[in-house]
Amino acid sequence: MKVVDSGYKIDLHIHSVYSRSKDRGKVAFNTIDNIGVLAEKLNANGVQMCAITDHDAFGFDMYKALKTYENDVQCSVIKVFPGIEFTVEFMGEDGPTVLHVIAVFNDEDEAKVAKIADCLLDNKGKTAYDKNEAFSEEKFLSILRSIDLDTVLIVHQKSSLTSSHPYKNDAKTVGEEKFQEFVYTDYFEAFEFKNRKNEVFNKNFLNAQDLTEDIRFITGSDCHDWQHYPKETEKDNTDFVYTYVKCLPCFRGLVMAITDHRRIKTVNSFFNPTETYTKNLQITIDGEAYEIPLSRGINVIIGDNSIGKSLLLHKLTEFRKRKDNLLGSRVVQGYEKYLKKHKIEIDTIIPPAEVFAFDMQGEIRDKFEQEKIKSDDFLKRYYPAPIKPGAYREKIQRKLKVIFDYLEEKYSIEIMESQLGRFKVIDEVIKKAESITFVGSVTKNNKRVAGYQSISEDLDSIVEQIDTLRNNNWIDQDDKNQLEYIIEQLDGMSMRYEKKKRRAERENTKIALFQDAVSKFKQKYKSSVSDTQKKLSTYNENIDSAAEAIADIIKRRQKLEMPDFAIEKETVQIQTERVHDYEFNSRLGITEIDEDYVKNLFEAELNKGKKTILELSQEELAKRLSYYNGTPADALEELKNRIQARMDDDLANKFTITQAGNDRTQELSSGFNSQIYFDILSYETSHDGTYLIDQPEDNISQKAIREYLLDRFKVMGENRQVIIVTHNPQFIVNLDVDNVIFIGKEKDRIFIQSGALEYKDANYNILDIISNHIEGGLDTLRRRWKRYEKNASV
Amino acid sequence: MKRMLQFKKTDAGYACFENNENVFEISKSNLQFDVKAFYKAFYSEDKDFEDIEIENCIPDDKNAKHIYECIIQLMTKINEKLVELPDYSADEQNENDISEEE
Repeated sequence: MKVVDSGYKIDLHIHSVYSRSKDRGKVAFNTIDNIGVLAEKLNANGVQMCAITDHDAFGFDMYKALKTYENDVQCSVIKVFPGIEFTVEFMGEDGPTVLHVIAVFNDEDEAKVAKIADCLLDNKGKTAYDKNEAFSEEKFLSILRSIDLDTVLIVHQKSSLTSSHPYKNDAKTVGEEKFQEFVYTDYFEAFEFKNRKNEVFNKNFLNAQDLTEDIRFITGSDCHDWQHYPKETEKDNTDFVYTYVKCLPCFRGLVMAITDHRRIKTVNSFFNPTETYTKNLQITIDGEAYEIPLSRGINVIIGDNSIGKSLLLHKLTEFRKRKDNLLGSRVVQGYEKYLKKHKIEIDTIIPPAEVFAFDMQGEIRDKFEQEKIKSDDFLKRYYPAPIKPGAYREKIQRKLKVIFDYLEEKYSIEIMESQLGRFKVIDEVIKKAESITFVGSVTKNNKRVAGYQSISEDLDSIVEQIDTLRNNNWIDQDDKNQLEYIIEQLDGMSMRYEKKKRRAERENTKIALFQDAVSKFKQKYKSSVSDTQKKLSTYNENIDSAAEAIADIIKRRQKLEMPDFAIEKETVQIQTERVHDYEFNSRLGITEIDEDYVKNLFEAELNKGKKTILELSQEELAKRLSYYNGTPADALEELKNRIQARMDDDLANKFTITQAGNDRTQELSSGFNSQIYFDILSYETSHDGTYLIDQPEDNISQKAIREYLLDRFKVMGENRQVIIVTHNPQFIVNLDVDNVIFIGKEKDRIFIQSGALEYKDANYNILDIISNHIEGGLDTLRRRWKRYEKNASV
Repeated sequence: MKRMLQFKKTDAGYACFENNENVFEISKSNLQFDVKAFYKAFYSEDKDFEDIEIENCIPDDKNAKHIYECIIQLMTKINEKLVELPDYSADEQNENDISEEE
């Protein structure tokens, strides 16, 4: 097994009869003869890695008896480690304190394992306690040295770390200062707990103390009676929860897992089991076939420059970047030539449907430095469908029409008033002359024609909209029928108004003919009467005309009702799609329509003044309209156009990104773009497939990689398969990748070696490969050497 | 409320006074009747024009008589026209009636 494809259930705290010196009768059943009972219980509980850790004792025969089940395909157990639960006296703040420390040893050197028990005894063959039934810290360390095996130390912790009254022998009994020393010197690889309820308290403690990276918790059954496994004894009512670790089933794997909190969980959720992933790479090099297993999580491809790492990603994806013009045909030709030269055949293809995304070399840098991501196809798919503003627009337009109709009529009356003329008052002599006066004229009513036409057109437009709605596939048949009925009614109504319009037009034609006839008759009459009669006739006509004009103004003014801006308040719908902690919104430019919105539409176009738009005359409007140099007569039309444009803008669909309620759309640039990009990539689970990326470290500071990017990739690795080409040791060691694929060259021959970080076989060791071939890899390993092997010299 | 005005002679001509304020005047030099000024004085904005009485305070001035009569004549005509002109609702009702008949 080279890569991990699931977490392993562990229990590293089981007692056998070898604990009888401390536990007496409690462990009486746990003899070598009953090891089958334990194996059966472990199998029933699906435990895969375990250790018998007796109090200050080690039974090699017991260990070996359980270890035989490693090879039993019927048993879940695949790895048994040797171990001891040491009773160690530490010097605490309030004096000596005894803690129980579980030591789990490397099982590779069986000769040394066989001698573990001897290291615990003194010259007289008794347990080498140098304190009262306990080892001093110095003695404990000297025993570990004499055992001379790589060791994992886990301190037993019965109560939670938040408990103000720790149990006897709990780590916290040493006092705060010593406890801090344990934590910051990584004295213990992990703290053990058993009760499920303590998990929450422990997590809270880590969060509150900001110790998540410094303390790992695992669970152990502390079983003393195998008949009742995983209970401690028959009477044990603890709600026990198992720990899963993500590692290869070997000691190196255990160490890797137990020293990284991300590799330890109480639910087996290290990988996404439903995610489509590529199981292996089939590659033939110079006749030698390689089947390179891939992890469901993070796979890194490493190797010297120009060895063919990028080529591998492009070939796996069938050079798909050619389509986006990101990969030139000359480069592709170069790749093909290289493959031919080295007799490499890459038989695995990741179909487009199984590729979540592929960022080739330099593509990420572009996304960081330019603002391509604003229009990136990647973001587009997260926005919900655009909001249809039709209903909101209709509501506002209705109110605007009322206001504009009012203003038009008001200004029309103002013009009529201004056009009231003058005439000369005649004297007594002329008044006595006899004449014919032409009074009671009729005028055309063009407004009525326009009014009917507008109603008819509006009705036709509504019919069109309803017809579109009726043809929507999602509408129910009953509603479709209803809409058909409404269309019929509206069509009928529209026809009625069309008729009215035609009748009003005919009326106007008649009036025009009549006016023409009267005018001709007047001219004929005036040419046949005296000047005195003409003056009288004109005077009477003037009086009549003035009276008619004033009466008309009065009538129209009486009809003119000042509207208000009131409109029923309505919240404008926002559609949101949540991805990670971002909200992708489809929204309009406004969040609600109400009286203030309508009022503001006008006020935004006017310079400051006391009067509202409704109180302004046409002249005043022309002066108040900001940046307007046209005539008063055109001012209203200009205002209409401006308001329409503003409203169009307000009602246009906008795509925004918010995070915790704050609009981040404007921040979509450089660094923030990439942050959103990787956040979404990491937490996105709705789109299936493998993520491939070539050198994510390009142009990103080591600090940004350490503090931000690695974390995103860790999350990503839990959600999907990731294949990374990298030269950066941080991406390998600190990211704690699941699989390393090394492409090397020896005597001009390409070869491939791969496996999890902890993997080693007779031919190679992945950690060695990293330290030898990755610039800075050795330093990174040294800085973190403890997590791999306590006694190893890297 | 009834508005009471007085028609009087002024230095420039003849004028209507309302609460001793000259609201409308015709110059004796050209006898031009300014319809807009007349409208402003008696009918504009929210002025009450339903019941206006103008008292001729210079009945013996023959020159003023025809001016006074012109004002009264115009007011009377306006009242007649207001009765004659159909208002909006009546207009619409009329249209609907025609439509129904069809």
